[in-house]
Amino acid sequence: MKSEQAEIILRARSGDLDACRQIHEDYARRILNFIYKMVDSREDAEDLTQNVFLRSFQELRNLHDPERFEPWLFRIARNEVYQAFRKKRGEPQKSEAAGPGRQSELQEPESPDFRQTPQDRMLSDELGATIRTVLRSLPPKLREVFVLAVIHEKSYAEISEIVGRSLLSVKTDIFRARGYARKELSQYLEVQKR
Amino acid sequence: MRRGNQHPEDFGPVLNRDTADPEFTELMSHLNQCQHCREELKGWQSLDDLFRSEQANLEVPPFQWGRIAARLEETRGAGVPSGLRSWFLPRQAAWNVALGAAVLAAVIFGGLEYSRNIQEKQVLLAVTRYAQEEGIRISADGNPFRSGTAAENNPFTGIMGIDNSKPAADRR
Repeated sequence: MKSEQAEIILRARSGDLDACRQIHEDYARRILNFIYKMVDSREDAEDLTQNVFLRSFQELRNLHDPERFEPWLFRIARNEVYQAFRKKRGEPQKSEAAGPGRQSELQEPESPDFRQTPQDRMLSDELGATIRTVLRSLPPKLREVFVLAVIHEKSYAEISEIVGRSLLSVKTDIFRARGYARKELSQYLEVQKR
Repeated sequence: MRRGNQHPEDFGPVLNRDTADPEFTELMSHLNQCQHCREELKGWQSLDDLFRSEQANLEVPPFQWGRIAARLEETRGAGVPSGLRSWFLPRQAAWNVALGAAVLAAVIFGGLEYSRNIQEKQVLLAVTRYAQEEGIRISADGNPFRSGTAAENNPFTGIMGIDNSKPAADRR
């Protein structure tokens, strides 16, 4: 992280709302997508992201090294996700509830890409749904390290710091998750090769 | 991960571009020599690309920051200038310690004062009881040696300069 970023964090720590807005602008998308990949619900992801930023701004005084802000923020996000899991314990798992209705809820209302043919779009929608299914079917312990490594491109050391587990355990779980995902998505990978 | 002449299974450090990982250099040198592993690596990279594709990502709703800012203002207390707030907030713990110490000092001092008063009252009570038992009358200021009866009964009266030649009634 640049020292300029550390300066913004110090300003936010002393109650500067503009600095807080800047931090939100810089990190919200990453945090939102990390949470979304973990909870697989747009609504929940947005609510949890809001909570993460509120908590982080309120607890900024406890952050000793502003240079370590990002892993610290991801750690808060991870804790929020696990807290949400605990709250929802007893409710049916989303992977079990997935069905045609559920699928339509998961479609993102994004503007269509006009470069794609209807066939491409169908494949892309199907692929998106399959990706979500693969993520959903991973246990949270594997999912979190996989999302951090593959989507957020974090180093093993950073992931280990965020999830609070040993480097070896993190490496093993990422490898296992990658292997599982590759098996599940093999048909799409074949299509890409052609 | 298998090593030696065998092909590695885990390309993780290369896929993550984790140059700090001790296996990174070893993997890279193997990849430079092994066509089979380069192809294998491409397969893993395609998998990662699928997950990184834009379609699977969300955009932050534009109203989110407004909500966070409103909640921050609520929790921090509206109307307090941020400069003043920032001066107070980090020092809150120090203020609390000082306030606690002041309260503790007040309690200790008050307790000592109270116990001193109780002791004085007990002494006075004991003197009063003794005076009552002995039939000694005590003057308004509580000094038994000021009353005539006390002076009469007091063996030190002469020594203390009280005129014994006058009747006790005249001296009262």
